[in-house]
Amino acid sequence: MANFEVTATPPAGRATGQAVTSPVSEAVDVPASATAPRPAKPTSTYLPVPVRTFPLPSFYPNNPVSLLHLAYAWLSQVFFPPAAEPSVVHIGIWDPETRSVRVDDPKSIRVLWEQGFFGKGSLSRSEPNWLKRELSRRGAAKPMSVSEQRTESRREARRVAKWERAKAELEALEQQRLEEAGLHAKPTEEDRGEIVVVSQRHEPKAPVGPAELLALPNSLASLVLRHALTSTPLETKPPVGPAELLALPNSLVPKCDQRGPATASPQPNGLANNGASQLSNGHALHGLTNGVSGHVPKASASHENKHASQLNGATNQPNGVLPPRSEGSNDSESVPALNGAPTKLARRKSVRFSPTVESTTFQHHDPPSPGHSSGSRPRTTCTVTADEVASPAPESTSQVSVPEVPLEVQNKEHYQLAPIEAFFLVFALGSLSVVDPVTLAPIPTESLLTLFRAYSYFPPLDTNASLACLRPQDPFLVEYAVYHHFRSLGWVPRHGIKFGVDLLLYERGPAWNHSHLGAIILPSFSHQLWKEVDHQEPKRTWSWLMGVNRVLAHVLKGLVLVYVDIPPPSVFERAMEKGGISAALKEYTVREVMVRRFSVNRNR
Amino acid sequence: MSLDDYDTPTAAPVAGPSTEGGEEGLTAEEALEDETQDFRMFSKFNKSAHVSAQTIRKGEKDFEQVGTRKQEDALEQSRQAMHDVLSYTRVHHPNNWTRAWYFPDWWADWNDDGDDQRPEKLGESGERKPYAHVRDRVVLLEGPSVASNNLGRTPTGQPKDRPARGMDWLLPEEALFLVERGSLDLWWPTRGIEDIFPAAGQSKKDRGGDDADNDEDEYEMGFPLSLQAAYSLLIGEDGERGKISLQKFQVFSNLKRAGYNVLRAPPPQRQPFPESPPPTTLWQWFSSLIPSLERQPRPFGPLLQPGIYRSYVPIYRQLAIIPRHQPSPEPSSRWGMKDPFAIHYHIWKAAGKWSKLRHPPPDFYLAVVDAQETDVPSLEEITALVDATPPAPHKPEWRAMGPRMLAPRLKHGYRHVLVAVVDHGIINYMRFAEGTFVDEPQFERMDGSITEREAARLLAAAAAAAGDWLAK
Repeated sequence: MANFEVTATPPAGRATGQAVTSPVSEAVDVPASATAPRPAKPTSTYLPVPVRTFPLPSFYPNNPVSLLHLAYAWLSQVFFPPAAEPSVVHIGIWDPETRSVRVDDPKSIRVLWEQGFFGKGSLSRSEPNWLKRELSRRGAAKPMSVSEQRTESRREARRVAKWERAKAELEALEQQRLEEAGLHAKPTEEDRGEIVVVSQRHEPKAPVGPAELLALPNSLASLVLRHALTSTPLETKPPVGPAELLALPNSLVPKCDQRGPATASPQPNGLANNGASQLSNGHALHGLTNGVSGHVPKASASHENKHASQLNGATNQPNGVLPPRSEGSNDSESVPALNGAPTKLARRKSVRFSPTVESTTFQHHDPPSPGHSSGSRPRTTCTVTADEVASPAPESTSQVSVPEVPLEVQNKEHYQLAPIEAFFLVFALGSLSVVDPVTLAPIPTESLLTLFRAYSYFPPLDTNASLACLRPQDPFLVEYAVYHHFRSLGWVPRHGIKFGVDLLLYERGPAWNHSHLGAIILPSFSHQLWKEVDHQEPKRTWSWLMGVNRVLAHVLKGLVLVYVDIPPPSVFERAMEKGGISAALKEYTVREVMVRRFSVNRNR
Repeated sequence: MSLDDYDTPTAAPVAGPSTEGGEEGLTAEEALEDETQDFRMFSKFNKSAHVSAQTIRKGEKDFEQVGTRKQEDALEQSRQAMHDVLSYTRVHHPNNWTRAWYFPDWWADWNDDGDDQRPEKLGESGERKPYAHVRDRVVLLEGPSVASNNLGRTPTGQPKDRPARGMDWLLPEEALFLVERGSLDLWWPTRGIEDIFPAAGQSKKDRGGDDADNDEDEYEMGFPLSLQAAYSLLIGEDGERGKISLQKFQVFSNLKRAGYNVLRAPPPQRQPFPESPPPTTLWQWFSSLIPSLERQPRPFGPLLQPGIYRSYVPIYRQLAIIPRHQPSPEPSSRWGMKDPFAIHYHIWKAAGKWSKLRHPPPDFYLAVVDAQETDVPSLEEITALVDATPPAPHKPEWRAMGPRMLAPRLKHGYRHVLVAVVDHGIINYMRFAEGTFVDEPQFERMDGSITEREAARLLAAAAAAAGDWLAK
């Protein structure tokens, strides 16, 4: 569960039984223990589609005021009629390169997200909140206000909890060992059975060996760090998790050198890794064995650290990079710096081709536009980090020093609608107009359909040459039939490629609850005319189905096979001539089949 | 386990709303089924050994030796408990053991269908006895046995002088299952059935003679067959009379061992597809003459007519243009089942009163397919298969539970069928159910809360307006 997007679903429905009514942001399942704030409740701007309704208030015979109320509402709507819905037509720009429809107007973006959950932010998981994230990252906004960051903090909390659990188990094991050693030391009149009774009283969890701890990612290093922390007088913060150590950026090398073994691995210089990693292994084992007995010989540790830093520095020099050497480093200085590091420094990648060329720094959150680097960070990172290292107080280093001037952050995110979503907005609701990227002239629905059908192949079909290459089983048409089918039933389908399915089905939307169903689209050619031309439908193997089902079951979703019965070309063309795409879509039949594993042992 | 980086959410049993239906276990829970055998069940039978049920735990696992004595003791206790369980003395009681004879061609020319049509096939309460598959019955069970309580069948309607009248005949899978369990001895007859099981007239005399010198001529009538021989005689290709395919036998045996009651399904009856009846009443005829007043949607949209809407229901009604599948008791298509996507077994849960002749409708319908030779079923295959089962909608109280039970309701479906996918002896059971999305439109829920909110806002506005007017 830790490594991929599976965390977007709750570990279980157990978390919140009332999840249907209580709003949870997509992919956020806040464990009861976590103190992360719940996301704000979706406001009344959330609508199922971008169409407003004007319901009349209900009349209660026992309450005459309600009649007044009803009359007022009705009269006000008669005399001041609201604009006919859909009152706003948003503008989307067709983007042939990404095969999506791009929306730039912030108002339209909010409406399209909140009223029907169409589309996604280009730099976000779904809700377009790159700007918010960026502001909070720079300290301008309240932290942890967007779902991606909540997910991250939740993962971090889980990581720390796992680490704590492992530590507790190791301590229990150690306690057990000490106890048994004490029992051994006693004159052993008592027989073996009584020992067992004594040992069972404590009922620790399953004892877990140290070698298993070794198998944890970077756990050795974290152990070392842990012992170093406990041995220092400045024990102000809980230890950071192992994966956070892993996430330390490359440019921290100068600092890493002081800690030596713990973070030496992410160095960019491959040359330096050999010596350092060997050294780190040796040191880590050393620290572990020492840790078991509860002591860390400080002198030897710091000695090795220095050794490591010299080694790294020596290998760095031929590359022309001069890392600042802080010679008089000891534990009390380096540990707080490390502590503050994960929250303080962003990831950076620096590439140097020759000493004369100025280094270009990219930030992790930047969009991939190589020409622009966000200049909020000084480029001479080495000196800055050296300064930070030198600052002794851990509290001050762990806080980002926020400049008082308001941040001017340009929103680099745009909104993108998949072709099926855009076509639904255009064709079904009429609340979107797709314009040509060059002429900015609205594309008529008929041409838009042709465009989307042609672009559902790769490379896109050349529709200028002839329209004959378009067929009723175009991927766009099949997908759209399914999308329209579920939309017209009030479901919110969204792309489900992260879960290995074609669509995820949300009941009201990702802001309220997790989806319980993943849909796979299976085109079917059962019409007699298809049989005559012997059209074969694509075969799917059983192992594929089991795989999809397994993945979905693991994230507590059900699998739906959506069979789309496709009309033969003659029927399709006739319908297109008669009644356009509205009539042609009536020739598609959609049928759902729910799939689940059946457990023989659980159904007796 | 606890240090595993991949924190599996299935590790803890999930308490969800869908645990309420017994059959409707959560999918995540199903992942637990592949765990090792729980010996606690056995230790109940094993009263003599003092094995505590707590001794053998499921769940936590030690992956290596940590050197504590506690761990060693726990391991030793588990070993001892397993040893005690396994060293239980197994006894073959004589009444669990029986002999059967292999007569492959005795029923070869029997007409099952004709037999089924006969009026005396109806039981006293008028219900039809289950389909007998007499032609496929090749093993004659000698004498009564425990196995004959729920296996085998006595073909009825035979003349009195027919040999082996009133005895149970087994299907190949039933016989092979019993042979494998060790409770059946399959014999190859060296004489005709008339000599071994003479007809009613001569039976007294001959039987008496047999009993007298039983010791000598036990092997005079035939000889016992090995398990390999039984396999080679009873396993065959699909559709071979008197044999069964290996996949189907494996599924049968797996289900029987799991405690289900399993019977071979009767051959599929082609139900005539209900033609849509012509309009009968006068009113229907009239209304069919009038062209529908419904406005046809514009060819290239928008489907939604601009206007002011009081509710989302009319909005969504205009969007519904793609034909939807409405589950109904009648079969929805004219496609017929084709092997291998055909119902092969009827399955009953172990609980409840069940006998091979009298039983409620099956709990499950099962098709057996080979994982390598077949693919995921096409629309025609799965539709025909699902249509062949009777409607089994979810419990009505689920409906009352509203959106909380929406996902379980949908996953349950209207009809359902099991498909056992056999891959070289490994069986994966899949449940396919007819979707009921049409019965669960989501847009009806949209109005409620929004209306209330809107109403509250309007009420406040009205009150304010009234207040202003009064103030003037």
